[in-house]
Amino acid sequence: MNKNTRILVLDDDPDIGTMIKMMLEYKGYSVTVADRADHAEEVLRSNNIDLIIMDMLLSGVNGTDICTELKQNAATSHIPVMMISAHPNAKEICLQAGADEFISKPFDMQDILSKISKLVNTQDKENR
Amino acid sequence: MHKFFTRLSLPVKLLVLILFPIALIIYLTIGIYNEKTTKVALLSGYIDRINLSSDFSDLINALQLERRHSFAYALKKDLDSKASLEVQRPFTDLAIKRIEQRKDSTLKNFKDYTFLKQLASIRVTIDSGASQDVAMQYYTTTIFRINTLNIIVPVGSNRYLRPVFNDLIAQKVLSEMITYLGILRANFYNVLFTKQNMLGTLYGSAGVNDIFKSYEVEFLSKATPSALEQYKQIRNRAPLKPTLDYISRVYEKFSFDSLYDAEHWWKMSGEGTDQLKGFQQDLMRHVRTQMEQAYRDEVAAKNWTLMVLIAALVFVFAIMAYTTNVISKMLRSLNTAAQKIATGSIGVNVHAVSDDVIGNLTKSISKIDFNNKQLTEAAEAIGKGNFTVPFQPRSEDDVLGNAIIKMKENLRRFTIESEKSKEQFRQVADNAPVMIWMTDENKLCNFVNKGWLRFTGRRKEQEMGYGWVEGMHPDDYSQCAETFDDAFAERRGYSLEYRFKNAEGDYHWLSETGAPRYSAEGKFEGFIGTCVDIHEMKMHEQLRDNFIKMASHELKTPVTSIKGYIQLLLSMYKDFTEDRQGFSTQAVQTSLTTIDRQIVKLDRLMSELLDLSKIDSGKLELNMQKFDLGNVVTETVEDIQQTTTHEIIVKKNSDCKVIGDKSRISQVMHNLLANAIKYSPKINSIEVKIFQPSNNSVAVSISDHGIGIDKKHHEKIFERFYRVEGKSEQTYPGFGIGLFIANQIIQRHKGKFSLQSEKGRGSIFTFTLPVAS
Repeated sequence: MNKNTRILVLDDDPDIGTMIKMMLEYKGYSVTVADRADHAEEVLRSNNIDLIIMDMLLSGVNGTDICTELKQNAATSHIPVMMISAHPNAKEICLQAGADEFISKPFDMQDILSKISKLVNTQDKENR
Repeated sequence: MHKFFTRLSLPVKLLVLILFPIALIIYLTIGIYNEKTTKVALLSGYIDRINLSSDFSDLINALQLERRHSFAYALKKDLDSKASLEVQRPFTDLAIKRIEQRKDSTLKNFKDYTFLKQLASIRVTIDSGASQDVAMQYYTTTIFRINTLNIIVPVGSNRYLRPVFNDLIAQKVLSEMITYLGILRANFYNVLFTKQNMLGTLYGSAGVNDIFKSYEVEFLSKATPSALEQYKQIRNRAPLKPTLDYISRVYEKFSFDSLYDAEHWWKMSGEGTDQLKGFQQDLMRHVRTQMEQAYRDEVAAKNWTLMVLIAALVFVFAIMAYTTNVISKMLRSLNTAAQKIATGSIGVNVHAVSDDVIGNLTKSISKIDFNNKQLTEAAEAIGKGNFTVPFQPRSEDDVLGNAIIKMKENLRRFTIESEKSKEQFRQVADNAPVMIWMTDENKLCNFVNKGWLRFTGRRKEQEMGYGWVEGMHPDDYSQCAETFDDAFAERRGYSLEYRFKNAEGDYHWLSETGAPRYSAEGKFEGFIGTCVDIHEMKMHEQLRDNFIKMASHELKTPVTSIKGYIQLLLSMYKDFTEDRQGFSTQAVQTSLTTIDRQIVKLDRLMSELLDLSKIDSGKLELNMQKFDLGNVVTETVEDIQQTTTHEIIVKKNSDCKVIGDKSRISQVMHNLLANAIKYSPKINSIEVKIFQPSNNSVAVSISDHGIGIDKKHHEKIFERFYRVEGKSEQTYPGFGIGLFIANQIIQRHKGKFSLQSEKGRGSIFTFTLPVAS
């Protein structure tokens, strides 16, 4: 079931990106990692992405800005977005920017998995 | 009594004062009136006596005539005498009746002892032909007796009688003389008619002649000169003179001669007697007229006295009433003035018109008023701050004057002190490192200190009223206005932070504290406030906030990574132990390698934080040694080259040795290269040069072709927590302390940092170090 769910991870820190990819792939999800916004755009265009996980703080651009863009774009607005940040007050900013879920660093593996599962299931129900 | 009198009102007091003199005057008036009345009564009595005497004289006169006719009839028995007698008798009766009608108590039954009771029987006897001696004896004794009744006992000292006293005596003496002359005449007639008993008659009447003469002597010595003159004229003229001369001749010779016959004698002596009688009646009339005049005068005087006294009484009362009124009026005006003074007014306008107690009181009140005016003027002048106003206490006892002088001195001192404290306040305010402002009670600014003007670079006049509002940042204005208006309305303190335009035109953050201010009397006078330029602090705070934000991100990212890998590994291990599936050596290796790298990263971050704390506490220790700078640079570059895709080219133009901490210099290089890589995301090439700008210094420069740094940040970029803020820069992770630490390290090595950069054109960071000798 998870193999049909395609997840885009956007993080400029390759270690984090790889770590999330390994974690989710281990749980059967199909994961693509982008370390820059323009890469992410490419991925979004060419793949049918079910969920986006992105860091709030990216090199050169602000993660919240990208999130807002995604949510305003008709092509991507339906895709759930989960944002990650180490900043203590980031949750509110991220949710304001349109994020569907927030998870703070350092996160628990079980936590992120359950939140992803929830987001994906909701999405499935809505699609049906 | 004294207490009672003191309590009486002034008019009543004055009335009491008047009452005593008025009572005295009334008493004296009554006394004088009574005395006058007594005198008038006395005079009236005298007049009555004189009238009575006159009546008696008339009676005597009538009796003498009746005696004459009775004597003639008794002697001659003729019809003429009888007729004269008949005519005379009613006159005699009338004279008697007049006296009886007086109803004088002293004349009660006077007919009993004056023989008049016998008159009727004597008349019958004479009519029946009695001898002439009977008639002569009866009438003569009756006349003598009545003559004794006709006695006025004048008091010589009585002033009313004094002018008529001599005439009164004279007429009495004349009356005596007439009586005696009547006897002599009748006796002489009897002898001359009968020619008988000549010697007997002479002997019998010689005493009568002596008495007559003695009365004449008395008359001459007592009568007034005018009476004497009149008497002499009568006396030296016929018929009195020949009558008296004949009597003298008869008694000289002591025998009658035939010079006069009986009838001739009777006629001549009768006329002489009448002449004397007429004179006596003239005198009597004169006396009476005089007395009546005196009486009228006295009655008039009495009435006049009464009128004068009544007039005096009325006048005195009027004067007293007028005086009372005047005094009351003056006292009332003084009272009004005193009350005015008592209520603190000045300008009472009273004028002393007399030199008495009231006058002096008026002068005193005027003087008090004048003094009050002077005191008021002095106090007003002093109140306006004129301490040179000429004012002296009027005496040592002038408590108020001395108090004013004291007040003036104190006020002057207070004013000087107040001026001094004002000046001190101004100086303090102007020299205070804060900005100070004040408003009036209508919110209008009325004071700013020099600190304020230094900050805004404006003139004081520009800031007054609402002028200062121009400096306020438009975004902060409404919130500040609301806070200030509320605090002003509720008269309470407040605090605000807002941006305000400084002299250079930049907005700086100010922290303002305002509070209501009150006068010493507690009157609200507006607000006072201070503003402190907290711009640096505010910026610093912001940097610190950013640092915390970045630090948490930088620290938590490796931890997240480590945690994630470990949880993945644990999960895999768990699955493996359960069903020997899901375990790949590739995954384990990647995980562990990453964990190791992240731990190194964590270590570096923690070292940076530790360095920061060491620098802050001055405990950054350097392990100084001589080393080849070029080698350290190359080693560090090689080290970093392994972790990045960027190409780092080293150009070594010098191989100088320096003295310093090798690891710290390496740390600086690490930092600069990490920044160069981080901020040049698009162009991979980075150049490192080692060169000698002078003989005693060596420099290392790191050039990148990245985003560059705006010139305005160049100075601050080496400050702690400073991160270049901008749309693109803000999201680059980092503590913002790396350059700070690097700069600190180079400074500790007596070296220098410099930066060449422009936005978008890359950056060249260069540090120099002294060459080791």
